[in-house]
Amino acid sequence: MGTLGALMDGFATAFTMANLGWCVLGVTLGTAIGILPGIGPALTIALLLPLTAHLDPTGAFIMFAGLYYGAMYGSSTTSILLNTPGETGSIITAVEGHLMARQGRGAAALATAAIGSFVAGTIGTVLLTVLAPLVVKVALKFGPADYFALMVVAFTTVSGLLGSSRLRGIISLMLGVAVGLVGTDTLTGQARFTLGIPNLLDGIDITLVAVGLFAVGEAFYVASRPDLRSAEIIPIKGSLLMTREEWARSWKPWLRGSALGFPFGALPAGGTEIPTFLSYFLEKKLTKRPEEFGKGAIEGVAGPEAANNAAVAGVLVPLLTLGLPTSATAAILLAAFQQYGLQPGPLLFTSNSTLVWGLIASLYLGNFMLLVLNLPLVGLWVRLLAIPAPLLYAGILVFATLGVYSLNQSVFDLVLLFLVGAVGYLMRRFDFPVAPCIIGMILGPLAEEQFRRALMITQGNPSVFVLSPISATLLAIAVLIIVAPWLLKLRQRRLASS
Amino acid sequence: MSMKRGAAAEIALGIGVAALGVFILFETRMIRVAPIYSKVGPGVIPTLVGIILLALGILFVWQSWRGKRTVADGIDAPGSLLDTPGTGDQTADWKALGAIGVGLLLQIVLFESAGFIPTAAILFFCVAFGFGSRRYLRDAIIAILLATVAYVGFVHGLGLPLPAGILEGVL
Repeated sequence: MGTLGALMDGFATAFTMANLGWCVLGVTLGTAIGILPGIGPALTIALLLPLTAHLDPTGAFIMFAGLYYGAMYGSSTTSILLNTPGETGSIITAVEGHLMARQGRGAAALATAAIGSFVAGTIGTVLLTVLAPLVVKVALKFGPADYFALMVVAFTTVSGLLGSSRLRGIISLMLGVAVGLVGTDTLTGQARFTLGIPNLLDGIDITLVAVGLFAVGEAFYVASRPDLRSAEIIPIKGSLLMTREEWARSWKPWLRGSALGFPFGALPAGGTEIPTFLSYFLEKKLTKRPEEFGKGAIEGVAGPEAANNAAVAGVLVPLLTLGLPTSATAAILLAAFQQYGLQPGPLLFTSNSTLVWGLIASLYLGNFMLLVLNLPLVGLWVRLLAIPAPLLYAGILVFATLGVYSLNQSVFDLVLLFLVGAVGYLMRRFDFPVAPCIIGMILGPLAEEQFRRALMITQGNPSVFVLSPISATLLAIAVLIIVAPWLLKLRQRRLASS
Repeated sequence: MSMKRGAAAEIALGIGVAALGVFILFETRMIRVAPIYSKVGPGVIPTLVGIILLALGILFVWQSWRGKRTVADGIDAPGSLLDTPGTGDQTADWKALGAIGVGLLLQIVLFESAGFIPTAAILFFCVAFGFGSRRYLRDAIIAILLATVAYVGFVHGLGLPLPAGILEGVL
């Protein structure tokens, strides 16, 4: 069956009443949490996991994916009107977008963000549709050694590119890997790091860690910094219909932003933030009106907003085809697959093709719904920003503890949540990125399994990692990623001294 | 350069990371390994993780000790355009942290005896207080309403059990 035929079947799945309903629910919820500071897609999906355990997986994933897309749409609204990004992918939008709002051009900023998100989201989804079957073909040839090498590449890029310093990123990643070790070893049934506590035999739930870091740690952090609390909402001014000039200045940044965002999401390079920064600087360089940058240039909103939506589509490529998460939200989605007993990877496309293609088709629909939700209806959403921060965070924490307790009906999990929250606070305060920790926690056990399976096949001979051409290439890339920045620094130093 | 305010705390953090590595190495030696798994058994990766964490911790301590700014390694430079939070040398509002901590700890201690609704309401109130809200009556009313709605929705709507505690038989 060709890709087009599969996609058509996907639309048939997506257009059923139930799945349309999940899609609407997902994009609506996604927009809301995108707009609300302090609650993001990773946290929301983690909190929804205990509730969706008994649902049909296709519907659940359609909702989750809509939520992930929606969060990227919604977060731009907060960036523009409040100067606080709703999500990390919209940090840079706050720069020019908020300045535009201050000048009374908030409506135009919102419009270029929403339409740009739509354009980029659609381009990204088309690329996902076309590329996923191709990647699957390659991935079918992967053995355990190759998967292990791929995960090593993911480890190096995730820790190196997320956050402000490589050392901090790697420490965060390894903390996640260490937490992932706790529990019964899958291959031998041996208990590890359980300290004799029976509750730890099943390991520590990734939902608990995500909620601890993103809800509890975040609440501690924001509360401890009164300077982060006060913010003034700027009312929407101007027309949501962009002028001819605004269209002319927006469409190229949209396309360039999409071109930057998709590969950054798809390659295990991590997240939606980096392509938005790159897009901003690219537009600043290419603009004919450099004097407007720093005063509210529409290009500085159009490019990054396209980039973050394209990146989300990109993230889904390695997640669905290889089972490889490249962002915190993707890691939670992988946990969701595991909850249903599904293993994302090349085989998912044959064993669960209805789910995969229904999900991809629903992304096209979701994007369209999001455009409607975020452009004509943006005025309704802005009212969410009127919720006072104390009540918002109080509500988040009540639902965080409720969700974590529901995992196992155990107070012990609440104790763990408190501890993880305390660690999360320290990480935030000392500038450790938390996303690598979540990714390490889910990727660590998978990497260990592939590592040991590869060695079992060869009876302990490690040469398999070098003799398989795929594995050897991937490991070489990983080494390069680690070494390259140091080499560049050395060269710079030598150039500077000569 | 004189040692910065945050440096001592950073050194402590690095020691913590290294200590975790040592702990993992120690615990790994406690894992009993059946002889057939001796080559690639359950202890191989934990040993590796332990060594890496120990090395990272030492490296982090060393960098903080030298007073080298471990932040901003190029790629995040654009972030400095904005207020990128968290560099360790800011002061923390301990009262706010304390209020939230008390709310969470009370919930842990009282969850099963007092039940979900009272503890969730207390948590809500404490967090709102921690975030600087001083409208006690409004917060208390919202806290009780939200906790009750969540309880009824979860227990009767979704069928997920929550402890009723002191309200046993009422809701």
